[in-house]
Amino acid sequence: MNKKGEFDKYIKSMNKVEVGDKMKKDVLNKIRPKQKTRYNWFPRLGAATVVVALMLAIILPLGMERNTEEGQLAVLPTIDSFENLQALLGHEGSDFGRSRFNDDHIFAIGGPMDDAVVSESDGIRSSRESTTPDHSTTNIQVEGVDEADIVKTDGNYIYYISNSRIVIIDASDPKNLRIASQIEYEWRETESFSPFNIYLTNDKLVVIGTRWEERGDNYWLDLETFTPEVDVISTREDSVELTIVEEPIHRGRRHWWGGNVYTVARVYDIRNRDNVRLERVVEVEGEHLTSRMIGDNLYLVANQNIRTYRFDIYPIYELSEDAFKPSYRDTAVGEGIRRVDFSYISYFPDSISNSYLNIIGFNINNNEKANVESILGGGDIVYCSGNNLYVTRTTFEHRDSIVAEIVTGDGRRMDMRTHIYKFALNNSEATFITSGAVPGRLLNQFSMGEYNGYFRVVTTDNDRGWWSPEHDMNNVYVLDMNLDIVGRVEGLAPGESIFAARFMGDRIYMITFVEIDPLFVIDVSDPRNPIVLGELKIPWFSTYLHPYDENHLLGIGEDVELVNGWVLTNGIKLTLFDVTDESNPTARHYEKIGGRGTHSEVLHNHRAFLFSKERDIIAFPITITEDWRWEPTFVGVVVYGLDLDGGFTLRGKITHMPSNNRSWVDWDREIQRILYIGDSLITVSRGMVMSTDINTMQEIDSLEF
Amino acid sequence: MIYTEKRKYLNYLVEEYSDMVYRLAMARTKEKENAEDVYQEVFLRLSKKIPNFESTEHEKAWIIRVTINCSKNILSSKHLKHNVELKENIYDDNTVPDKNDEANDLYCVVLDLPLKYRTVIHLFYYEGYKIEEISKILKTKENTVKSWLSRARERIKTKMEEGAKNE
Repeated sequence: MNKKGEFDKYIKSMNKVEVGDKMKKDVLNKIRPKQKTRYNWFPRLGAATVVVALMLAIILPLGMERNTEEGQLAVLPTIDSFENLQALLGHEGSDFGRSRFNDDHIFAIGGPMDDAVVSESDGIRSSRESTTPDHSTTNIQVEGVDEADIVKTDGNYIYYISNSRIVIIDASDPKNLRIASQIEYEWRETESFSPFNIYLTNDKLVVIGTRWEERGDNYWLDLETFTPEVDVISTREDSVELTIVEEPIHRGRRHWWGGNVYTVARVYDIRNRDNVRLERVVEVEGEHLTSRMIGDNLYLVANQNIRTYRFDIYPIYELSEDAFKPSYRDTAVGEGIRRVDFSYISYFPDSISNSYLNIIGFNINNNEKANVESILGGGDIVYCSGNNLYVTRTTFEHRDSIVAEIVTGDGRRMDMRTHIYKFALNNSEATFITSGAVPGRLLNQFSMGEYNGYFRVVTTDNDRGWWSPEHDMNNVYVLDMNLDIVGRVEGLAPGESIFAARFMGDRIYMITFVEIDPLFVIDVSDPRNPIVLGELKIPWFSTYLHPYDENHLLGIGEDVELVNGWVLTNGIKLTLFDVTDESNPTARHYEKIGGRGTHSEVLHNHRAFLFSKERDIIAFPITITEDWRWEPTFVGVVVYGLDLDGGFTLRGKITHMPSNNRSWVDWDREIQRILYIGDSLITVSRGMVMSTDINTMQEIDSLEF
Repeated sequence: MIYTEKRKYLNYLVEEYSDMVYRLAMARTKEKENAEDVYQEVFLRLSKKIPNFESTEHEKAWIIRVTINCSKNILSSKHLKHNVELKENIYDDNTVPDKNDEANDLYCVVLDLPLKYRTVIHLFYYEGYKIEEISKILKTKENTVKSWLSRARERIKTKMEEGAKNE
């Protein structure tokens, strides 16, 4: 059977396999190009621009000035086609996205992910007006812009995420704590949901989490079907996002679980707390970055890595286009997955990233379709002012040092830039407006703030890279609403980096640190001319600044000591800064808690902080160790009071640890948050909730779960 | 020929490649129903993105690649659903072009081969591609294509001989 002629019979038979005219007609009908109607913002804007441009052409010769504000928006190109996406990513300008959001990152799901942190409430977070008892709310940055947390209360019930389940505790009677109900999530091999944050409104509970799904089990199918006899398997491709066993490029067998990661909001009806009901699920592809809720409008921000490795392995025609589009789902309008078309995704020609930044917004109280906005970009840190959402992304570009030295003479080797993407928020719709960039990197969400029509940002810049902190310097930038820099102060505290910042109206307070901690007071009332009013140097640092009143700031940080030239932390330090005389700030009171090794979540997460000026409560979870002994001497919360004249006083400590056991720490009894409801302090750990009398600091009741 | 209109170009593609696509799909999926699905999918994909082909050969090879992929997807999804390698018995109306024709025996034997074997047989004997070209289309080493081809031939030979004995 090896002469070609012998296959004539095959050819003869095959020739009878024919496509009928009807089939051809059908397929032609299907593929005939159609006029598309687009309702999206970008194309519409494109049209608007044409009009503007025409008007300008007519008006300009008459000597009228051009209004740049609108023209700027439309310049941004959209991806439009799969080929273009591939071309764009093939010439990726920045190495940032590739390293930061590579595929292995998918496995980071499951555990609670920390939100990016952001800035600017009046700081005094107490109760909302209602008939329920006075109670605390999550410590947030901007008044009116809620941030998700692991626990929320409405004054009667406590909603808490404990080990991937939601526990709803009836705390209306602090003497008799009771579990009203629990929501549990099943872990399946091909799909899982991990809750890590919640929001609460009057009759809705929103659970934010990550859903991961393996798309079918083709991974096993592939192995069984193809591995036994075949040496190289390179023809395999699948339109669904699945595993690739790819051998041609990497030696050995490497598997990619091409599962999809979604950032999810599950909305529950909690009118009946004993029987909560899932009402709606909204999800967008990508890893959870952060979320915000303004009124009833919830916005989820996610980073979606684009699987560019597939471009290296397969030619474009083998790839399923849809798998490269951001997808989302909203059960209010149907169970199916929807995708954002390339024509709606804009990109920045000078800064190509291999990830999408996806923002999905919806109103939790109505069933109107969720709105998705995607750009080719990525995000690290998010700040939301209420009207606008700012997402930043820091990139590093190495310069040729020799050329740089010759050309600039300053030996600058690295460009560290933070790109800022601005989205307008309007009735659950996030719309990309513009982008800008500033030199340097940001610390957290408190490094940004919008005020009186200007956007301010503080950065730490370094022209040599991370490895030479002695070249750090700190800058303040004021940007206008188009994100163009209009004012700046640069080169503050050379050799130090920003540890904390807080924006309060026309003032920026900023802490930098190396060995001693300067507090800077910066006046940005004239956006074009920000000035440093004063600075204070103290031998410890703060990592979180909280407004106490208009003349005082609370700082929480760590005490340090110098040992053989090393700076070692030595306990938590509370500081009350007095900024009455802004050119001469002072540390009016301070308090040291614990010894070396003492730690608190509040040092890096402002939501672990409970503060009420009226109630005179300053409280946070803490693990105290003395003299670097490994066993903590105390695990729980500390509650302080503050008197402007008398300073800090310890009102009490609360722990969930059994008193008879000091040799080991049960981490399920490590208090995560402290709240107050009426006259009770409520503390929650993964395995327990406890109520404590706010005046006597005596335990009232506790409940294990 | 240069087509300025997408519609005309699509007409040309359907007219020119319908049979080729359908036959390859048939060789790979063995079922009329599946082959029709693949056929539609191939042209749907084509209509979504038409690359700039350098030549007619490039165009044809491209479409063959798409057909191979589409049929693979269909096979995978069917496989997932039924957990069996499609239908064992291919001797029925749906598959065999003309059941009264005795010359169909080879056709049936070829379609009975494992997927990769019947693919290379089809490309080599029916489409007339050289081994080198097939290796490019399948993105496989030439030696692999060679060994598939020879193993396929051996199997066909054995099957045909068995068939002859049985008669």
